[in-house]
Amino acid sequence: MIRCEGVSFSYGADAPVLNDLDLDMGPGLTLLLGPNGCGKTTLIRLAAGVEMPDEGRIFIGGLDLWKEEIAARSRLAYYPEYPDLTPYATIGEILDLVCRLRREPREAGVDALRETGLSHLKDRTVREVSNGQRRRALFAACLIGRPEVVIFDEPLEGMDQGMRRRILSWLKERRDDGSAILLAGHEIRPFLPFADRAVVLKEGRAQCLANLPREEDDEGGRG
Amino acid sequence: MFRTIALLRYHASAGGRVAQRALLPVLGTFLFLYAVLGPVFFQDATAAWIGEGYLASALPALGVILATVLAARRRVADGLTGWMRHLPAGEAARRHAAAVSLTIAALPVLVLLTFLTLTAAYNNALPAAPLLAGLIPAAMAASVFVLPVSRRWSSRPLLAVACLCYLSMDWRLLGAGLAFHALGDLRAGPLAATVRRAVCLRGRMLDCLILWRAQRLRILFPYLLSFSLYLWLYLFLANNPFQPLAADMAVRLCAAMSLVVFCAVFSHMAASRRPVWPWFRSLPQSARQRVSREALCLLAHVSPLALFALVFRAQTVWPVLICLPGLVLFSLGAERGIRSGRFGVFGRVLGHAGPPALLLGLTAWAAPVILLATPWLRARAEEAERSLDVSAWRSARHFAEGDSHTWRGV
Repeated sequence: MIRCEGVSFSYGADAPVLNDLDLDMGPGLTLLLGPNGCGKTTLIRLAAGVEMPDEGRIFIGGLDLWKEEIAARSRLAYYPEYPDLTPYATIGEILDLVCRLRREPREAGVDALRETGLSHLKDRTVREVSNGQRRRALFAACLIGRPEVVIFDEPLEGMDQGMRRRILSWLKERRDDGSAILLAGHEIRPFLPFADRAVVLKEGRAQCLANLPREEDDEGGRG
Repeated sequence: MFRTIALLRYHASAGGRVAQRALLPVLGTFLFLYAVLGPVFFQDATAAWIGEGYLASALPALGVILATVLAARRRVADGLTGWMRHLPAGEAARRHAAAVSLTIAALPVLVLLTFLTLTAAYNNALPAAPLLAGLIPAAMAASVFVLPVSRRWSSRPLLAVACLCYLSMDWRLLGAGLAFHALGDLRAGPLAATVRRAVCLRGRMLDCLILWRAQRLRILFPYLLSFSLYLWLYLFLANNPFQPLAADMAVRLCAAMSLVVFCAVFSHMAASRRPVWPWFRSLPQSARQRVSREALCLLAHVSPLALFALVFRAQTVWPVLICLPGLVLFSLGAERGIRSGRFGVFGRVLGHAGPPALLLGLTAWAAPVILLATPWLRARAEEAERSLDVSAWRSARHFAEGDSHTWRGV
C-alpha cells in the first residue's frame, strides 16, 4: 500500500539521505528502524507527502503521491514527531478542516476531540496550547475517517500513559482492519506484539528484516 | 472545489485572527501620527504620492504592502509546509488559500491606505479609482511573493512587476498586472517544505553567520530607519539656508543618530531572534574573541551608514567614525543584558547612546572623549558576554514575536 520506487532525497549539496530506495509495504504494521540521522523521519515525511523526492516516485494505495495528490492523500493519516501547525488556527478549526478535506461529517471532529480529551480546548489557538496538546490534536485528526495508510513518527514520545494506551489500541485496531501502518521510532517494545515486519535504513537504503527484533533489541539502532 | 473552499475558510480564520491582533497597534500608530503631524500633512503627502502616478506612486504603496505581508508571514505561513501538506488538497489551492490568509491579515493596513487615498482624492480632485482597484490584487500578489514557494527565484520578479502594475494608477497597466500575476502564480509551484542548503559555511565567523541568518531580510529594516534620517537631513539642508558650521552640526547629528538607531534596532533584533546557543559558549574561546567577532560583524554593517555622511559634508565624517567602535561595543553589551530595562535592548541603546550622539552633533570634540571610553565599553561588553543569562533568550524571543500570551509573567 506504500510503495517507494527509486526514491532519492538530499537536504543540500551533501550526500543524499536516501539513495535510490525501493520499498513495498503492504497491510500491517511496519516498523522503521535505524540509528539517529539514517533518514527515518525523512522517509516518513516523503511517504506522508510533506517532502517531494528529488528522484523516484511514491505510491499510496497504487496512486502516485505527487500526480494524483488529492486521491492519494485522502487515504492517509500522518502523525509527525513535531506538531508544526498554523499558530493562529484553533484546534477546532484544524479538526474541522480535516473533516471537510476527508469528506467526513463535522461530528467526526467533535468525537475525535472528545476521545482525545481536547473538547475544552477546541476554541484555543495552537500557540495557546502545550506541545503535548498539539500532538493530541494531531492524533485526533488521525481518528477522523478510516485511513488506509497510517504514518506515525515517534508516536509515544512525550505522551502520558493514558494517551499511550489509546494510541496503541488505535494502531492495533487499524492494523486488524487491514490498514498499512508505517511507524518510525526508537521505542519499539510496545509495538512488537502486533508488528508484522521491520525495515532497517542504512546508508540511504532500506533492508527488510526476515525476523522482527527481539524484545531486548528494541533500541532501534541494532536492526 | 469543496476542498478549496474548506482551505479558504480555514486560512481566512487564521488570517482574520492575525488582522484582529494587528488592528489596534496599526490604528493606534496611525491616530498618534495623525494627531502629531496633522490632517494637512497626510492630505498633502498622499496627494503628492497619488499625483505622481506610475512608478513613483507604485513604489511607496508596494513598500507598505510588502512590509505588512512580510510581518504577517510568520504568523500565517508557519505550519503550511509541514503536517498540513499530507491533507488531501491540491498544491495550487494551498498556495491560494495561504495568499488569501495573508491578504486578510494585511487588511487593517489596506483599509488605512484606502482611507488615505480617498481623503487625498476628495480634497485634491485626483483619480483614486485605479489605485483602489489595484490594492487588493497587489496584496494578493505580494502575498504569493513572500510565501515559501519552491520556485521563488523565477516567480518573484513576475509577481513584483505585477504589484507595480497594479499600483501604478493606470487601468491598462492593471490589466497587465493581472497577466503578470497569473504567470507568477503559475510559476511559483508548490509550497516548499525544505529550504535546501546549497552552500555550507563554516569557520571562525560561524556565530556571525548565524547572526546574519537569524536576521535575514529583516536586516533591511534598521537600514530603512537610518536612511530615513538622512532623507530628513537632505530635506532640512535643501530647504534652509545654513552657515557651514550649522550645516556641519546638522550632518554630524544626523549621522550619529542614524548610527545609534541602526545599532539599537539591529541589536534588539539580534537579541530576540538569535538563539543564545549555550553549547557554543563551552568551546575553547574567550568572551573577548566572541565579542570582537560580533563587533567586526556589526561594524561591517554600520560603516556604510557612517560613510554616507560623505555625500553631504566630507569633513564631518571623521568624528562619527571615531565614535563608531564605542557605539558598537556598547550595543553588544546592551544586547547581552536581555532582561534589564523596561524598553529592551532598543531602549537601552537609544537611551544611553542618544545623549552622546546629541553632544557629538553640538561639538566634534566629543568624539575623542568617546574614543577614550572605548576600552571601558569593550570591557563592559566582555563582562556582559561572560554573565549572559542564557535562559532569558526564549522569553525575549516570544515577546519579540508578539506571543505575550504564552510567556506572560516570565
